[in-house]
Amino acid sequence: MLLLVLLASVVVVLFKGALPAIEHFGAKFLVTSEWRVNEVERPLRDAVGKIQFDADGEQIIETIPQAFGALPTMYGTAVSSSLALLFAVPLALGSALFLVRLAPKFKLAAPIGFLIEFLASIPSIAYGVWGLFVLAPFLQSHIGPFVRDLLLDVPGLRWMFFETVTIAGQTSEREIPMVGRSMLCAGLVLAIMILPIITSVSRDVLRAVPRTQVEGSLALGATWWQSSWMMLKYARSGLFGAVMLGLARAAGETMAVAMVIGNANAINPSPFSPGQTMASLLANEFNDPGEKLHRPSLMYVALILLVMSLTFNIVARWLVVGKKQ
Amino acid sequence: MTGSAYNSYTRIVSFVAAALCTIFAFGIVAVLCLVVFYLFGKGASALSWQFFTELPGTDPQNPKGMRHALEGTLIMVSLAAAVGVPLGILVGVYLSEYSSEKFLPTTVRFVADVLAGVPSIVVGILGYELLVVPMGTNSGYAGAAALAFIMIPIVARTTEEMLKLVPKSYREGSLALGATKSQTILKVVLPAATGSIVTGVLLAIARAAGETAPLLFTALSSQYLTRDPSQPFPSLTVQIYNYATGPFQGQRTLAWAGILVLISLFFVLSLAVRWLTRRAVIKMV
Amino acid sequence: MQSNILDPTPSRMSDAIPTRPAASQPSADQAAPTRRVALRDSAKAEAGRYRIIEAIRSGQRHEPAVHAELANLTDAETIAKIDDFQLWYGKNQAIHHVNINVARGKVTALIGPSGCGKSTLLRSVNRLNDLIDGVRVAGSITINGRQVFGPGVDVINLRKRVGMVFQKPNPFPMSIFDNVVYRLRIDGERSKSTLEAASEKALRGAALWEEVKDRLKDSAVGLSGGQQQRLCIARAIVADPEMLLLDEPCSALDPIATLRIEELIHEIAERYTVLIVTHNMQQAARVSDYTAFMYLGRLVEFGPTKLIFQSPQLPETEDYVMGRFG
Repeated sequence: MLLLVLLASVVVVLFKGALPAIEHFGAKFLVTSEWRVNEVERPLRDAVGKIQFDADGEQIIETIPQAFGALPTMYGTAVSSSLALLFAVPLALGSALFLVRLAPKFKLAAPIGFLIEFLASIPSIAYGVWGLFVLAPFLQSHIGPFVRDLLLDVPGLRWMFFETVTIAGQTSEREIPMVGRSMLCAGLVLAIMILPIITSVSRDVLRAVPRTQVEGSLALGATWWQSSWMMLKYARSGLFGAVMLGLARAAGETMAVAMVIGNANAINPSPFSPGQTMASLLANEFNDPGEKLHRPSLMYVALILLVMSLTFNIVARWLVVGKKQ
Repeated sequence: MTGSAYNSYTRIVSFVAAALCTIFAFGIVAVLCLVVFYLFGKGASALSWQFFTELPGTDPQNPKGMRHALEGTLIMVSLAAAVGVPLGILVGVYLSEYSSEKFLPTTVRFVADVLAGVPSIVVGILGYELLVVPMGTNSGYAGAAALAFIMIPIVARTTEEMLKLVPKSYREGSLALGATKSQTILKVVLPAATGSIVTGVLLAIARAAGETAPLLFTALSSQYLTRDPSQPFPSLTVQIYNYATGPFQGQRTLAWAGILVLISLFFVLSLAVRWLTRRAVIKMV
Repeated sequence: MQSNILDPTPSRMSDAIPTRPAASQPSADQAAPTRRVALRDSAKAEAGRYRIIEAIRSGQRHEPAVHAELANLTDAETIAKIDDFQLWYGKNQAIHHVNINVARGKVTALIGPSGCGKSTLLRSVNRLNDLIDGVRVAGSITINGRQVFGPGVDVINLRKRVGMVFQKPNPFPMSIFDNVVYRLRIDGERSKSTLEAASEKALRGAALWEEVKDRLKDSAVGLSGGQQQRLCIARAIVADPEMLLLDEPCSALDPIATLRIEELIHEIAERYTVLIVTHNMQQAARVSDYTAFMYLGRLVEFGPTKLIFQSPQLPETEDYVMGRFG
């Protein structure tokens, strides 16, 4: 009962708080990318960027209203989490296989298992501080330029390093500065954070694969890898669940991301550009809200975040635990 | 490609795969250890006795210590545990011992899992709307409530898992002697599982002590030593966050020291949990 | 060579010195137990009736009764030779000085009470015991003259030559077709027509073709237990192994499915030599040509199934197959 009340209160409070924004923006909130906290007044310009004057020779001032759209933050959450999974999943599955099928022979399963569980428990703020002071500068000064030199001539990857901008009606291409605090940095920090979790859950899932499956393929003359592949295949739904658990953690992670992602509320396709996730947006702006629709819009973002990470969690638990029963 | 050529090919693939898995495992451990060692090293050079005994003081460029934040975390986590642990254990006992009815426990278990997956920043917003807005100020109570919210599902689920491991014969033995169900739970089942429940509680406390996001909007932070939880309240994690993102070198140094204290705490907790689970398993066998 | 000397302590095969001339029919009183051991298995057992069992229990040497027909198999008639084989799990010796000749094209059954080492012996033939930590062996096993244990042996190739079916059906989580051709796929066979032909042949060989030919793409996990087990047999014979190991293949099946598998064993035995472990005496009597009775890791009696079940040489074998002991 108590838990039901808690859960209901989360949903109700967020929904109530977000209601003005929901009424005002509706579903459009999900697909627009403007985020203007305050009304802006500026001289009206025409298509080529010339300031317009009225009959008396006065500048025409236009007022641009507040506007909020969650698209950049949803994009940021999706991309940073995907990057994290891209780095973490192969490493985590490989290590889980090592822990289940190789480590026991060398009596390494227990010590490495303990280390991984300890690393999984370290608070995210610690990883965030490390990312901010160590990884981000290193990305900026070493990895970023290195990757740029490496991939610059690869056709089709130019968008990673150059962007087209339109200033005062003029379109030009310019190099994206290496800032360090970027989408890539967030992805890496998240990957390091979710590695231990995915590893330890996958290890438990693989341990639950019946011996007869492995023996069955070995008895047919399968190599170590062929029988391991059989194991992965048998445990695929549980492993998928482990990945979803990692994804849920990555998508909901706030502090570490807020410290390293660069907090730019726009969609930049390059992984070397700064971005923003839903959670980091909340951490940055909720305490210091602007007028009118700002806070309801933030609540709307929180609601989306809640629904998303709950979906990941439910699917993950259903796959890891539910199937066993 | 068949026959012996393919055979040697599969063997090479297998060997490479096994080698990769090994490298991955050691790589992960190495990278993560590097991170932790770096944090340790950086923190060790920044840590001094002052950190534990002094307040930040009046000079924002060179804060002296974080005593207020340590005490703040301690007080808030204790408050959260005082509420969250009993509630969590109650829910856990209900799930494990009264789950003969089909529908409700399944729902409750599901809700507990769902609650455990609520992003912590959302918990912070909830605390803000439900407690900070009506009370008119950020407060330690709101922070503690947000932490309790995070602890309850963890405690509940571990309690349930551990109680389920208590052999059925214990319960039947007690019931057969004429004890009531509640007597059985209090006198037989809970004591048998105490060790492992303590483990779950420790895990939950650790999780709460390491949280930053739920405190940002609830407890906020404070530069002063305060023991009144109805006021904005300091905590180690938020203090680290503020200092790490702050502009002054002195603040960052202190943030490193804070990280060291935090990680050391977690290492000790991990060891304790491991030791307890081992003991608990031996006791069960 | 059928003379078999037991040493109560683990020893390498060179330490086992034959002290008795080869005898194909050692009578009960030739065994030499002197210590009496209380027998709890059968109140009816007269003291001293189980000479060999008593010897085994007290850790003394004993002479297994190996019938002449098996002792005198020629090399051409023998597919696998288990020669003075011993196996230890860590410090515990699980198999002591076992000699068994597996006759080509026949069904040989291993019977005995649980813990007698029959499954361990079977899993030694394709070296599946390698997976367990701390396993040591002594003596030798050869299949068609090729060593199973030894420094230069390629375990993967060995397992490809020997098919195995397990206690519980263990179909892989893929389609029926993919299960059957798994063995060929891991050898790199990609030709669709070859795979289809092979899978039909194997499924027919396992008497499963008619039941599944219309749903080869369905998941194998949806089959009934008996069908799954026949699928596992098809999977094991798809690449024409030199011999087939069956580890209590019917223990997880209902009586009707069991019957079908037993019929199948008869049929495949003509093409593939079968070595089967079973705890079901009737099954051994029904399906096998030769039967070996093992006890506490030792061979007790080995002979043609008919003789083992109708007129065994040892009273303990007689009592065991009659269900009076063990």
